[in-house]
Amino acid sequence: MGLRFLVVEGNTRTARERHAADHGLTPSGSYAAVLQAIEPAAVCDLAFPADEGANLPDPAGLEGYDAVVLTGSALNLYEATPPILRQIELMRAVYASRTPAFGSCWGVQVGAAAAGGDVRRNPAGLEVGFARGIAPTDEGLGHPMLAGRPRAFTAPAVHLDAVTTPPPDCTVLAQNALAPIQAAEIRHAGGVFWGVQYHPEFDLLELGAILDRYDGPLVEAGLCRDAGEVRAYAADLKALHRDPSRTDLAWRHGLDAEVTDPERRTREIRNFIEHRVKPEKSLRGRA
Amino acid sequence: MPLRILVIDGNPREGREQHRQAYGRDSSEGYALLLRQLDPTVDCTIVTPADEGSSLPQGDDLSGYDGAVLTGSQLHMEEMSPPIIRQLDLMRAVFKAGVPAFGSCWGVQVAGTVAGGEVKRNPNGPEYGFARRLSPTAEGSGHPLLEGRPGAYDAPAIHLDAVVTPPPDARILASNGVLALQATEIRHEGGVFWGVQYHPEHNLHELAVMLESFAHELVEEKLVANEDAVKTYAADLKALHAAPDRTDLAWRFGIDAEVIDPARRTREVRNFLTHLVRPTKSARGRT
Repeated sequence: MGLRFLVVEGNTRTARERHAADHGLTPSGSYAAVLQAIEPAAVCDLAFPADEGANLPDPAGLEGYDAVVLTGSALNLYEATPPILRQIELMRAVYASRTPAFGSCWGVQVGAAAAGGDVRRNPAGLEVGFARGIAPTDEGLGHPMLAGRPRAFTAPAVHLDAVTTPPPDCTVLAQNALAPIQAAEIRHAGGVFWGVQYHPEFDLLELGAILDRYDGPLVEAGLCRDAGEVRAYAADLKALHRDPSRTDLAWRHGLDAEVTDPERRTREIRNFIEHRVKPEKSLRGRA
Repeated sequence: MPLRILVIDGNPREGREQHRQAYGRDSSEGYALLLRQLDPTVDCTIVTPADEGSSLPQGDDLSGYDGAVLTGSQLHMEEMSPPIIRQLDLMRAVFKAGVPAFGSCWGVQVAGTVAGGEVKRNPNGPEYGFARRLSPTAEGSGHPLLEGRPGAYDAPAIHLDAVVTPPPDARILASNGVLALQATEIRHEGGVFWGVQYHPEHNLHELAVMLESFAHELVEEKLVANEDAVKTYAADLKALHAAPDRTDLAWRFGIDAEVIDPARRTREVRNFLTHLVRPTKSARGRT
């Protein structure tokens, strides 16, 4: 029997429809496709807790899933609006259900906030495009989530906010100059969450589409001089996606196979499935 | 107390001349300038062992130096020509005299060869522009050569050859995905050598000029589509050198202060003076 995933969409309807208009899929739809590419027999249900009156699983329903995966989001956690509070509420229930959970970007921020951590505008500035020079901590070097990652790597990333105060039971697994928490394991209320501030699920096509959309903030932050430069950069990423053998584009942007090879890029997700979801499923099966 | 440093130029006469025409000074003059910037008490003597019949310090003359620094070179170790053999002989004498030595690129290849390692074309390919995602090894993260470097960093680099088999007494201090021996300490015949395969001594303007001179090779290696692309890349590097606050260029290259800030970029050279040359001088009672 295939694994049963609950993919929790972090975005409001407007934001996810915007993403679908640019990229063809919503963030949760795209994440589900990544999970199914790794595990073809997987069944993915989508949940939309940002929507008022959304149909969300109850505690028994959560226990019925083999894993919960949280997507990114355009929301800012400290706004604490009802669409955000509902997501934190759901994450608390996920912890209590002890279902293995994983989240990228907004996902790790929700995972931290639900466990008592704090999320704010990243004082080091925005990280858009790639998180460069990510280095596993001593704890991270031996941790199964990062198994196979080298001692320094680059990953797709798009974030303004970050976990600025880790929750009480948090092990930081990787960091870089722009974020002291790039990867973490968080334990809370009997549950275990693995998360990353970067986006292992984004291929360069999806990342390129997001950069196009962020031309305003990129220019404002001084990372591009005008929207044309954003488009040119995004076009390079899309071209590299279509033809990963374009060594000229990889060289120009300082990227290697940790980004251009889909299997390596999605390492944390694969490790989550191999080292968390499958062992937990067989444990539960025996119980 | 003044420091007497022997700067050993790795290039033959015509290589030095090309260098001087491109930057206004050759490799050893550039190194001497940097050493005096880092420590105004430094007094440099430049030697050119690649030249036949050049005057080289021996015996007590050599022991009179507080340190030796080896530059890069256009030479290839596998050719084992007399200009190379003379440099190996000099390095052997430096080890025996117990003069602390430092070398970048060709410099680490000379010391690596003398101490019994093997230098040849790197089977993982050349590095042109930047050595990306360097990370200190477990031994390197506590080593004074890399003091101040973060868990992951980039550095200027241009090389085809490398120490592919480390000498028996080498400690590998930093590596990346392309090469294991990026930073090392080699103890041999009573002497200590610290070296890096990258170029902490080159600023972005010098790096740009070097890349322009390798335009043909960059095209051949498929790192650029054509020679014009090298010119564009080099022009951007020069612009970033002229205006280090150009966050747009830093973002596009994917580099940070470890490359752009001269004090951080030259870290290994400074650490050599502070943590190896000075203490050795004191221990020899030469204060």
